[in-house]
Order: sequence, then structure tokens, then C-alpha cells
Amino acid sequence: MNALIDPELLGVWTRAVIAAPLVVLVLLTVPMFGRRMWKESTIARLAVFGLMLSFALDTGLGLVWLMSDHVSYVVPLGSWFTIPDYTFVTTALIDTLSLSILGVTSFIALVVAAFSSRYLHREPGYARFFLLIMVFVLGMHVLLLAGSYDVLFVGWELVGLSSFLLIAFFHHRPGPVRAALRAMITYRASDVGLLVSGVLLHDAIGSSSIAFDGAWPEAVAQLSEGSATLIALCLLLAVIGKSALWPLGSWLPRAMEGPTPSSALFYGALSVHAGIYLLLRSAPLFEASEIASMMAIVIGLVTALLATAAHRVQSDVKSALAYATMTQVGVMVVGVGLHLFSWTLVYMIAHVFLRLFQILRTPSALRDAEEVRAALPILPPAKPPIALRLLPERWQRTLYFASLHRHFSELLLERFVVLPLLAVSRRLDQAERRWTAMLSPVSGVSKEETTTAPSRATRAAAGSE
Amino acid sequence: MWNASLLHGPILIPVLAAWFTSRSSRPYAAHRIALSAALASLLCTTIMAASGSGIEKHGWTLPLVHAEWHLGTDALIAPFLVLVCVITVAVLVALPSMDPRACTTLLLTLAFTLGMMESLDLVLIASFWVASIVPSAIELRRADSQKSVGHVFEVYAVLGACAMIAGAVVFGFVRSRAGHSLPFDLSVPTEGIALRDQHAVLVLVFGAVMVRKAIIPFHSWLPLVIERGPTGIVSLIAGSHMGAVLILRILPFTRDAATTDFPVLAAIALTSALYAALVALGQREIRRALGFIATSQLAFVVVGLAEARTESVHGALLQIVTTGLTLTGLLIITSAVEVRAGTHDIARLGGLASRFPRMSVAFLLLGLSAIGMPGTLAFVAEDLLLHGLLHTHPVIATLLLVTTVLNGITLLRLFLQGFLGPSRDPERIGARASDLGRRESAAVFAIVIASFALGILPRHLIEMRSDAVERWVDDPSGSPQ
Repeated sequence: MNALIDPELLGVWTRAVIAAPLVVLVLLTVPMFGRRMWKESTIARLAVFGLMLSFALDTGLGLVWLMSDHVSYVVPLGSWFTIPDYTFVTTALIDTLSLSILGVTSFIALVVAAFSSRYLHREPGYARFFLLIMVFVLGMHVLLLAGSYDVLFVGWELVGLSSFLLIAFFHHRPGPVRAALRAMITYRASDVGLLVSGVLLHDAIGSSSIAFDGAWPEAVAQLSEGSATLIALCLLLAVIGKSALWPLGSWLPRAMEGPTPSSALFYGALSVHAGIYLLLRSAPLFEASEIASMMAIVIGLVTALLATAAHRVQSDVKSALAYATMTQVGVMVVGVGLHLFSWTLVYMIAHVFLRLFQILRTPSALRDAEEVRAALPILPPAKPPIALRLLPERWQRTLYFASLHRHFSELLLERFVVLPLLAVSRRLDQAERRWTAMLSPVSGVSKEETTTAPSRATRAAAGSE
Repeated sequence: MWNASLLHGPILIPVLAAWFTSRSSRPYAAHRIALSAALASLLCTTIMAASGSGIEKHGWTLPLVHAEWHLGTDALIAPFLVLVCVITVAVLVALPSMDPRACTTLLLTLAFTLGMMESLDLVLIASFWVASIVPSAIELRRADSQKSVGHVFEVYAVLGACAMIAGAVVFGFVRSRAGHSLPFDLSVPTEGIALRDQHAVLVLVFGAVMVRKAIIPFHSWLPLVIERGPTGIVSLIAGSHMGAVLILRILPFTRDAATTDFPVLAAIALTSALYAALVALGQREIRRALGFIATSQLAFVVVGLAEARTESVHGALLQIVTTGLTLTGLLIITSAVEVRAGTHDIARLGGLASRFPRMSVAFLLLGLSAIGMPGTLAFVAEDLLLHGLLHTHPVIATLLLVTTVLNGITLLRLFLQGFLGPSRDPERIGARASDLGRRESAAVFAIVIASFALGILPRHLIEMRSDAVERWVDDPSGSPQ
């Protein structure tokens, strides 16, 4: 009953767990580049079957682990590339944390895929949707099973890529594209934190292994407090972007422009909580650093307070749920800061299922509201929450105004970070143009200002190619 | 005989073909000749690269100067040759409407670039270096109605050429003074150059490298050339990495001076990478943005080589391959956009994904390849570069990360704003304009597949050069002695 799992079997099984979504992903690219698009039923069946297989493998792995002695396993998966002084080693870490969320991930993805197979019926981009879902599932599997921050980054990037491409799913409209741009920029800017943390870990201990000494959550990091603080703060930066914490959370409500199933999967359920997973995985670092723990508490608390206020002034249900999600994610970050790791894990899993359900139900929310109004012709007036009733009216108005403007965090970011950066970029570009103009008579003028529209002959030639 | 054919073939075949294309009055005939010559060169260079071991051929010696027609290649240089031929083949496949004069200048540039890379004599290197400028400048002047691009290119190219020639002269002089019978020979590293002379040679060579690789303050020509130059010649100019080959050739003779000079070059290159990434951030025009991103990525190569550690050198060599390939692919697509829409300004585009899905997917995949998405060759290159820089200081590595992040934001922004969203000017694209043609698709998707395949399985490319890199670095700790 308490036997160790055969390492070879574990290696094969882990590879199978990662390979399952990968194989489906590769198969789904075929119709994208082929002459004829497959039928919706074929695509949906392939995706659902693949996710069922993935769920079966994930659950099987979890059951086998449960029946063993519950130790953490570091599973070597080989090396990606090797040079004399360095090897990119790929390992998987199998323990309570990774297996619990792994099963949840594949189950939720399966539910969403089944839901989407009918919800997106006759939607242009049906195949593209399922392709991106499989990219996401693959990314999550890699992220959850990663045995090092280097490998985790691979999954992290795949999750981010699928995320912003799905936000821009309805790409013929400007709103989703703008939202995707905002999400992409936030992800990439905050990903510096994850990359730098890998660099610092390599510098400190010669590898970026996540397998600290001991089993989660009691593992210990063999690092000085200074190193642990720096690395933990970098990871917190990465999580601030991915999990929409203050002050980089403005992308999340806008991300609801994507299809409802992907909003549920990403921003209710899994993608937004990937940051929490990263913090939980890095628990030993936070335990070793009081400063990082304090920062997590502050950021989590501020996020929760601001998000709950913003949630109450939203006029559409998906935005309201987005802010509600942010609130709870903020609470989870506080949990990490207080070193309540197991509690945070349980809370996260419960929250994932709740938000998934709520967001998948949003298309029906309007109909539900109308049914309630029809049943109750006179609705009782809504009472403000107790906390607001205690505040003076002037403060209530100020809070309402600030909440409507999302507490000005994105305005301030734009005013003091984005616009100055773009202004510097454009000034440097103007300087470059002036310099090249000095070297040559006309080159400072942008080609766009001297280019005319293509002639009909050129357009016809392009069309007949 | 076989070695001589392999070494001379890639140079002579394009030159001969250029003679025929210059006399051809039929565009498609000239294009076929050019493509055949490029494929023949690719075959020769691939055989050389696949052989694994180096080959050399000595030829006639120039009296008085004691320079020698000495060609050779080894595991370090051979992949460069293949890359240059692949870039040439890709642009010729994708652009079948290239006129005879464009084919001629492209072939001549190819020939002289390959000649420079195969040369093991510094006078020969300088000669090919200067020679490669001529057809490029002619083509840039011809293609730009205002002759401005060619003029700017010539100013910088002449500057770089002067530094190259001066460096060669000083090198030959000091080696001649030390008693070497072939003072310009680079095949066998020898000692005997005084430290002060080494510094002099390195400073002059660095000047040439900085111009060729568009390192600040000699960078302004590259974004302009990429913005306005014709796709074919521009891909070859930006993707040939002649500066990197020069560094690889010269280090074994200047190791003592390199200990102090290389870190300075690395610092300048890193600053250049960050600067170019910052300028690219606010760009609206796709080609100009690509120009600055390319400038930034070329600087990565110099950082990696100047760091002179095993990891960073491997990273730099892989970065050369990925930058050359992805830039070529992106320029082909941008050219396709420009032909159909008459602009590459994202403020006037939008909605291309609905009209041209293949083009959009190709741009996205190439963009992801360029910015180092996991699974691509650029990811492997940047990971190795990073680990090489870690030994110097984590802060330096962090700056590299910030630069890659900025480049990523720029490229993905170009995709989102240029290809997605509603069309900002629906009248701009004719109703008959179609998606990427067969040839364009073949060239572009071949590059995409190569980038991902090499990224997932980079071992062969790394192992091919492993011994050569170790010999070049020549220090167990990774720093030049």
C-alpha cells in the first residue's frame, strides 16, 4: 500500500500526461492548414476525447500517487539541450500541490470543451477556439508539472499566448483586440519577474529547481534571506500581471471580451489562478522572507479592497464577476503572505469551481433577471452593504466615483509609465530620422508619406498570384 | 579537387549566374537562373557543413603584400554559409517577380558574402567585405526613387570598410614585423603580436564590426535600409552576419587584448540592443519596427561573442541563425502586405486576418519565433546567452531580458494592431487581392517549420559546433585568456 512508485513507470506516465494535449493540438492544426475545414462535430469530438484521455491520465496519476507513500517525486524527463558547461534539464515534480490542481485543470477543461461544442455552434473560428484551448491545456500541464522555474516558464508562456489570442477571438471588433493588446503587454512586462527569478536562482544555487528540501508545504529553501527575498519579490511581480493584482489588474475585466467559455476557463478558473499556484509552489521562499510575505499581504489586501469596491459598481455581469474574481485572488495572495498554504490551496480549488459555474451561466443571467422581475413586479430596493452605510455620504460618493474609474490605477500607469515610455521612443525615432536626413537629402521623411497607393495593375497582379 | 570545387563553387557559381542574369532580358528567365545558382551554392555549402571536418584550399599568393588566396571552412563557419544560401533561396522563391538587375545584385552580394566567410586571409576578407558593399549599394540606390537609402548605406559602409582595411593593414604590418611569411593568414593562431598592437587591431576591427552589425552609434543605417530597401537584398544584408565571422576569425590572434576590450564591446552592444528595442516600441510602420528589432537582435549576437563564454557563444551562433531566418520571413510577409495594401503602417491597416488568414498566421508564428517563444530556436539561443551573461553579472542578464520583453511587446503589438481588428481603410485593399501565394507560403512556412524544428531539437546544431566553440573560447572557465 505504501510502496514507492516505479520511477520508470512514473516517467512514462508523466510524459503521457503532457503528450495527450500535445497530440490533440497537433491534430487540430491539420484542418487549419488543409484545404477543407473539418466538421464542427469532428473537431469537438476530437477535443473532448483528448481532454477525457487527459483527465483519465491525470486522475490515474493522482490515484497511483495516493496509493503510494505520498512523497514528492522529481521525475527526470531528459535534457532539452546540452553544452559542456550547461544542460537544460527537464524534470517534473509530482506532489500534493501539482496533482491536486492537475486533476482540476483537466476536469474543468473537459467541462468547458463540452459546453463550447454547442455554445460556439456556427461561430467562425470554431476550430481556432479548440486549438487555442489545447494550447492552454498543454501550457497548464507543463506549468503544473514543472520541476524547475525554467520549465515552468515554458508553460507560463503558452498559457499567456493562448490567453490573449482568445481574448482577441472576435478579432473583427476593435474592443477585443484592444483588450488582447492590454493583456499581452501586461503579461510580457510582468514576465520579466519570472525570468529574473530564474536568473537569480541560477546565480544563487546553480539551478532553477523548484524541488526545495522536503515535501510541500513544509519544504525549505536553502537560500539566504536576501536571495529568497529578491527571488520571491520577482515572482510576485510575475503573479501581479498574470493574476490581475493591483496595480496591473485592469486587463482582466476587459479580457471578458472573449467567448464566455474561454472567459470561464481562463479568467474565472485556471489562468488567473496560475499565479496563485506559482506562489504556492514558491512557498519556501516566502517562508524564508518576511519582507516578501509582507509585500504579498499588502498587495493582496489592496487588490481585494479595491476590487470589491469596483465589483459593486459594475453594470454588466461579466465585469462584475471579473472584479469578484480579483477580490478572491487578492484574498488568496494574503493567505500566501500569512503562510496559510494548504488553506489557500483548498480555497483556490473551491473558488475555481464557483467562478467557472458563474461565468458559464452569465449568458443566462439576463434571462434569469428578467424572470425574477416578471415574478416579482415590485422589487425591494437594494440596500447598500453595511460598511458603506457606516460611511458618511460624501465618502460614499467619492468611493463610488473612484470605483467607477477603477481607482485610477490604469490612468496613473498610463500617465506615468506608458505614455512617457512611448514619448521617449518617439523622440528617439525623430532624432534618428533627423540624423539620417542630415546624411541624405530626403531620407528623414517617412516612406509612408511618400508612398502612394498601389496601382490597379499591382493590385491585380497581387490578386492573380 | 573536390575540396576546391566545394569551396569555390558557392562563390563562382553565383558570379557566373550574375553575368547571365545581367544579360537576360526576360525577367522569369533571370529569376530561374538566379534560383538555380542559389540552390547550387546551397548544395555546396550544405555538403561542407555536413562533412563535419574543416576543409581548406590554398591558392596563389599576392607578391609584395604576401596575401594569399586562402579559403577554408570549419564547423564554426560552415553553418553561416548555409544560412546565407537559405536566405537567398527563400527570397528568390517568395519573390518570383524580381527583375534581372535585382537578381544580378543579389547573386553578387551572395557570392562576395560567401567569399568573405570562407576567406582565411585578412586581405581577402577585406576585399570581399568591400566588394559585397558595391552590389548592395547599387541595388539600394536603384530601388529607392530618392536615392536616399543607398546614400546613407554607402556612408556607413565606407566607414566600416575603412576600419576593416585599416585593421587588416595594421594586422599585416605587425605580423610581418614579427617575421611571419604570410602575415595576413588566419588559419593557424600564432602568438607574437604585442599587446599594444593587439589593441590597435581590435579597435579597428571593432569599428568595422560595429558598423556592419549596426551597433550604436553606427546603427542608423540598418533600420532605414530595412524600412525602404527591397526585400531581397535587405534580407541578405541583415541576415549575413559578416561582422560575427570577423570576430570569430580575429579573436585567436588577439586574446590578450580581448580580455579587456571584449567586455567594452559587450557593454556597448547591450546598450545598443536596449536602445533599439526602446525605439522600436513606439513604431507604427512594420518595416521600420522590424529594422530596429533586427538591430537589437544583431547586438545580442555581438554580446554573446564578446562575452566569449561557451554558453554565450553557442547562444550567439544560434541567435544568428534564428535572426537571419525570421527576419527574412517577416520581411517577405511585410512585402506581401505592402503589395496588397500599399502601406505597412498599422494605423492604416487592420482586418488583414479576415482577408488573408495564411499571411496573418505566418506573421504570428514568425513573430513568436523571433521573440523567443518556448519551442523556437530563439528561446534556446536566448537561454544560452542568458546563462553566459550570468557569470558576468545578473544585472547584465536582466537587461537582456528587458530587451527581449520590449521586442516581444513590439512584435505582438504589430500583429494585433496590423492584422486584427476592423479594417481602418476598407478601400485600400482591392477586391481581387488574395492571400499568400504558393511560393510565398512555401518560403515563409518552410522558415516557420525550420525555426520550430530547430528549437525543439537543437542538439544537432549545437553538437556540430561544440568542439569548434570550445577551441575558440579556449578557456575552461569560459573567458578568453
